[in-house]
Parts: sequence; structure tokens; C-alpha cells
Amino acid sequence: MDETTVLIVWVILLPFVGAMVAFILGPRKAPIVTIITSYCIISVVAALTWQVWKYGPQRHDVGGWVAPLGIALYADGLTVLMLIMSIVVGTLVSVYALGYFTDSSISSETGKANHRSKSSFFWVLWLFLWAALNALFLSQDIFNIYITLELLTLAAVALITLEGESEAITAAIRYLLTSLVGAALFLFGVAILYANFGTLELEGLGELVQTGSLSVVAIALITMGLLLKTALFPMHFWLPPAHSNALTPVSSLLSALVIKGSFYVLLRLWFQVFPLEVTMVAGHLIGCLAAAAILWGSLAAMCQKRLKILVAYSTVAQVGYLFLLFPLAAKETHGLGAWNGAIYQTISHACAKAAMFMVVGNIIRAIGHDRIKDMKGVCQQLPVSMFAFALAGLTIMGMPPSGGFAAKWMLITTSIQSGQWWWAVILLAGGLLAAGYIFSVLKYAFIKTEIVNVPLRPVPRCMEWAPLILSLLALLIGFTPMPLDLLRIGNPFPDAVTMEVVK
Amino acid sequence: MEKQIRVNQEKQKGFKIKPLFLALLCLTMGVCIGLSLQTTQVQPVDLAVIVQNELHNSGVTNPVTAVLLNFRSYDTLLEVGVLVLAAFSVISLRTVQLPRLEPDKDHIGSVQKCLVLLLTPVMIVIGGYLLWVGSESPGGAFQAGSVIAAALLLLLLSGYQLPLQHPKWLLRILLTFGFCVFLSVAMGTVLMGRSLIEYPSGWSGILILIIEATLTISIALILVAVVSGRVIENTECRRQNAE
Amino acid sequence: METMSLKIFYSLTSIALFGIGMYALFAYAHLLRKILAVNIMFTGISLFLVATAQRSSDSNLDPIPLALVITGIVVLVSATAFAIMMVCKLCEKTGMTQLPDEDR
Repeated sequence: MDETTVLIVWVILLPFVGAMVAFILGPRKAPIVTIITSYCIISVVAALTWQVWKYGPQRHDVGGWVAPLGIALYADGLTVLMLIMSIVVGTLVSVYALGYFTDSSISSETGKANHRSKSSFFWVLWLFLWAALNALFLSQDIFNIYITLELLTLAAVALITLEGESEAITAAIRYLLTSLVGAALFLFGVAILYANFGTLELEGLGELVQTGSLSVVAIALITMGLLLKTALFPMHFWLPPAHSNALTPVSSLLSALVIKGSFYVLLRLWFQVFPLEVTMVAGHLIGCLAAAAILWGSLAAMCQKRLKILVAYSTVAQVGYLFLLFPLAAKETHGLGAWNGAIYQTISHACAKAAMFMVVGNIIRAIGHDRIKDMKGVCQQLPVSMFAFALAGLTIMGMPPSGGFAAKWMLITTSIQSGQWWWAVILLAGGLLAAGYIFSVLKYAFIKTEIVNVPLRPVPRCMEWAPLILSLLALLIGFTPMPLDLLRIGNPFPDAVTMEVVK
Repeated sequence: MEKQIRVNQEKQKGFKIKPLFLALLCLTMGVCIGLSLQTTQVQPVDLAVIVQNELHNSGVTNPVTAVLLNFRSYDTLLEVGVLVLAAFSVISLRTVQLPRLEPDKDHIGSVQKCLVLLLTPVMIVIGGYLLWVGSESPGGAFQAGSVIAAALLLLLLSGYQLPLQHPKWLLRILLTFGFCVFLSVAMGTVLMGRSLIEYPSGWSGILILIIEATLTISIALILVAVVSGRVIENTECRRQNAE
Repeated sequence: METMSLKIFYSLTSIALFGIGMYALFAYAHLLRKILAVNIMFTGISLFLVATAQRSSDSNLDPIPLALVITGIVVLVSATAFAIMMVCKLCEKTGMTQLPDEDR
């Protein structure tokens, strides 16, 4: 039996408390409240990580009611890694937002008031988003997961609308409608599962669900719902406008964390609950979509004229890499490599993409636009930012030594070992295309200009260094096996490994 | 705007293949789900029996309330979080030209004014009854909250004002009151060394009632806020101006 | 036997509602209609859950699906309210009540 711990609870409660305090105290105190809250969350998650490291997976039965009656919270190596990922990205985005929302150049009174109200809403909504993410990562009950997904979506949509222009609102409406449809499909699947197996707890469901037309339909509905929310090709149509029209800190959060939430749920359900016979066939179907996402997303990114939407399309492509896990892990013996690769990709993409969006924000702040062709000389003005962009680009392309390289290397070796070489070709082609769009940006940014005739606006130092730290972290993940050791705690493939040894 | 409508009307005359295709798609999906349901199995786990067996420990006698506020109270906590978040998101949109909930004073007939004044106390009593009865038969915080919200909206529609704007922090406190109380109970149980929202034995009935009562107030106000938007609009604008 | 056929009737109705909602969501461009369509889809799911609460074996209702329905309704109400407010805002900004690239 897993250890029980009360630390899990605080990971969820703290951001909620922070959000309420920030809401009641009002706009002036909100940033301080957020900083204090994130400090508390960091310490709690550090303690939780230590416990998981030392004693294995932890669980907590809410209300003292043991599942299936109650709801269980559960933390294993994967959960802890995801929590750490959201802390790293979240804290640095908060630091970035401190600079972003103190814009000294706005002169008019109404402009200032508008800016201040945006900032106050940002902090509270971000704390809500954080709470939703933490609750999602820790949940072990399929209906509870549904509520956390809704909380996550609503917070994300509200954050997009903060920008206030009609493009952002259109994108937000599209996002909300799409993800409500996703939620409906998911909930219908959950209802069918409950009607037939009588439990909502993941572990119990995993033991009960068998192959049959019923579970096929339920799995299809749930998977489709989650794919809509994760924006896998061709369900990605909402992502580029939503991510490119939001405020910069919001774009970073959306691309780095929010889509990972629904992906995480898919991982949990796919490998913990659903029977292998179904997932094997469906896995290859998802693999085809993933391949299309990688190629199409990269090509679309290459065609873009503006930097922010280019980065958003790059997210579409990078989401494809995550889903290559499903065909690769269908052969049980090779599952572990693909599993590790996909999670490495999740983490390194989170860091790199957040950094990239921040750099785009800096460029827009400094030169007032993000047209790629007119970015000559940006490198002279924002050396730190452009360095961060190039480093993050390394991870996106999958060049050694970086987190992205480690991830893609693991995926490629698994695909060759399991005899599915065609996925390796897609992976390599995707890397080349990524190099294409990253270099097309760097080409213009590194052109040296003699005279700078555009008056540049200053960029606060914290806005320059936050992306640099993130992209350095994305690079460093490639050097350390720490995440792998953590992932081994409670991964779904121990049987596969032992089976091979027995044979 | 009118041109747009005319263009749309012209377009709609031609035969469209898209709706037909969509209808077929939705039909196929429905048939697939329907066919799969034919193979309904007997449930291996019967939660209804477990709930019945544990009901005497839950502090209430209505099984649905027991599930909502004891066995799966964590779901309810998050769900109230969603409500508060929705209210907050609506505030953050700060729409100015909302559908007016402050109708022309001339158009409100005396019958309406009189009827609303008669109905409001009745509806509030019904809300209170629903809240109280929730512990043993169908009812509870959400039902009570929506009835009270309807009463408040009727008042607003008939030209009355809610006295919520005056201390500018009052509305913020009231909107989040229920959620804050629920969160504090949750934290209290954890600090006492129990599980999350594990009520001390003997206290569950009264704690559930307190949570439900505070939730009712907040839910009613959140629903009013979300529907009307104006209540909040005024306070928020004033607050901004004050700063 | 009677409860069984009633249950199947409810389930089929709920699936029909879900399908109608989905069709309407894609077929109509007006955003209010789309929001209503999503609501119809969720109503279908609620009906399905209510139908599962009735067991054929005994007269006891399973309270869990009923609680899930209440929770689901509250979540849906929040999302709907926010969506309608966004449509109001969009209408206020651009005068449009549909997404720009929808032709109908």
C-alpha cells in the first residue's frame, strides 16, 4: 500500500487561499501575495518530492473515505515532475509579469488604470490556474479530473480575454467552445464508464475495464475530448489564435502548462486504465495524427510573417512529438524508453516555449511590433533576450546538448528498437523543419545595423533574465538523469521490464 | 450590420451539403454509442450500497447531500471554485453595454412592483426551506441559492437596487464568503491532523449546515452577478475611480 | 422489466440530445446558438447519468450520478455565463455575433 501524506493537500489548497487573499486585498497587494504563495508552494512541493523520493508513491484519501466511495489524491514520480515543471515555469513567469505589468511609459491616466486592472486580474486568475493544474496533476478520480479540467479551461480563457481586443476575445470564445465540446465528450465517456463499471476511481477502473464495444466507445469519446483540449492536429485550429493573441505572460503559461494538463490526463488514463488491446490499434491512429501535426505545424510556422504566431504554430508541431509516445509504447517491451522521451519532451518544451514567448514579448515591448522581416538589429538591442531565444531554439530543434535532444534521442532509439523506423524519419524531418523556422528568425535578428533610427523602449531587467534562466534550464535537463530516476517511481512499465528479465 | 444579414439570407437559399454531412456524422456517432449500450453489464461495484451503509456516519440523511458534502465534498469545493472563478472572469471582462437590467421606470407597472414585493419574501423563505430540508430530502445549497438569486433578479428587473455597493469591499467579501468558509473548514480539518474535509465525529451535521448556509449566500450573489453584471460593474468602476 | 425499457428509452433520448446538440454546434454560426447547442449536449449527458441512477435490482436510487449531475450543472452554468458575457463583449466591440471566418 502506498504511503499516506498530508502534504499533497497543501499543494492544492495554497494557491486557492492565495487567490482568495489576492482577490480580497485588491490590485496593489496581489503581486506580493502571489510571490508569497509561490514561495509556500515551492517549499511544500520540495518536501513532497523528498517523500516520494524516499518512500515511493504517496496518496491521500479525501474526507477519510477510502475509494471508491471517496476521492483519492495520488503522487508518484511523474506527478512530482509535473508539479516541479509548473513551479519552475510559473515562478519565472510571475517574475516576468512583475516587470511586464509595471510599464512606466504609459502616460495617460485611463491607460494606467486599464493596465493596473489587467495586472490585478492577471494575478488572481493565474493563482486559480495554478490551483487547477496542481489539483489536476494529483487527482485520482475521473470525475474530479473533469472538474479540474474545467477549472483550468475557464481560468485559461479568462486570462486570454484580459488582452481586451476583439481578436483576443474571438480567440477566447473559439477556445472556450472547443474545449466545452471536449469536456462534453470526456464527460459522456465518464458517464458510460460509470454506468457500466460503477466506479470513478482510476485504479479501480483499471482493474475492471475490459475490451468490448462499450469500453471502445467510452475510450474513443474520452480520448477525442482530451485531444481537442490538447490541440493535436487536426484539432489544433483554436490554438494559434488563442496563444498568439494573449498577453505575453499568459501565452507562456498557456503553451507551457495548460495544454500539458490534458496531455497528462491522457497519459494517466491510457496507461493506467484502458486495456492494452484497444490502445494498441488506436495508438497507431494517434501516431499518424502526431506525424501530421509535426510536419504541418512546422511548415505552417515557416510560412508565418509575425514572430508570435510562428511560436504558436511551433507549439502545434511540438505537441505532435508528445503523442508519438502512443504508437511507440504500444509494444509493451519498449514502452519505458518512449515514456521517458515523451515526458522529457513535455518538460523541456515547457521551459523552452515559455522562454520563447517571453522573448517575443520583449521584442514587442522594445520595437513595438513582431514582424520578422523588420527585426534587423534586435540582437544589438536585446542581446540577453536573443541569446535566450537561440538557446530555447536549440531545445525546440532537438540539437545536442539540450533537453529536447535527449527527448528526441530516446524517442528515436525506441522507434528503431521496436522496428517502427518510420516514426524516426518523422522525428528527424520535424527537427530539420524546426531548424528552418528558428534560423529564419535568427537570420533577421542577427543582422547588424549601423544606425538605429527607431526610438527603443527600455525592457526591465527581470523580463530579460527570466527567459534566459528558463532556456538554460531547458538546456540543462539534457545533462542530468535526475528526472529519469524520479520517473521510475511508480511508472506504469515495471511489469514490462521484469517480464523481459524473466524471459 | 444589415448588409451582413442580407448577404447571409442570400447565401442560405442555395442547397448546402455541409449540414447534411454533419447530420449524418452526428447520427452515426449516436448510433455507435447507442449500439454499444446494448451490451450493458452488471455493475461489479455497487456504490449505492456503500453509500447506504455509510450514510449514518455522514451527518445527514439525504444520500445526495451526503455525497455532495461529505463523501465527495472535494468535488464540491472545486466546483464552488469554478463558480467563484466564473464570477471573477465576468468582472474581469468589464462589459459596459450589458443587456440593461435597469429597465425604464415608466414601463414597470404597479402590478409588477406589487407582485415582486409579495413574491420576494416568499421566495426567500422557500430558499431557506430548501437549504434546511437538504439534509434529509432533495434540496441543498445550490437549489436554495438559485431560488434566492431568482428573487434578487426579479427585484433588479423591477427597478429596485441591491444595497451592496456601499462599503466597496462588501460585495467582494460576500461573493467569496462561501468559498472562503469552505476552504477554512478544509484547512481546519487538515490542521487538526485529519484528512482533507474529514469532519470531526459528531460535528459533521452542523459543519455541513454552516457550509451550505454560507454557500447559499455566495451562490445566490454569484448567480446574480454573473447574470446581471451590473451590480459588480458599478462597484468596480467606483473602486477604480477612487484609486 | 419496465424499468429496464424505461432506462433504455432515457439512454437513447440522451444520445439523441447529444447528437442534436453537436449538429447544431457545427451547423449554426450565431454564437448564442452555439452556446445553446453545447448546453443541449450537456443536458443529454445529465439525462444519461440520471438514467444510470435507476438500478433494475432494487428501488434504491444510486445517489452518486445525481450528485455528479448537480456538480456538472453548476460547472456548465459558470461556463455558459462566461461565454455569454464574452459574446456580449464581442458584440459591443465589433457588432458581430458570430466568429469571423464562419460563412453562414
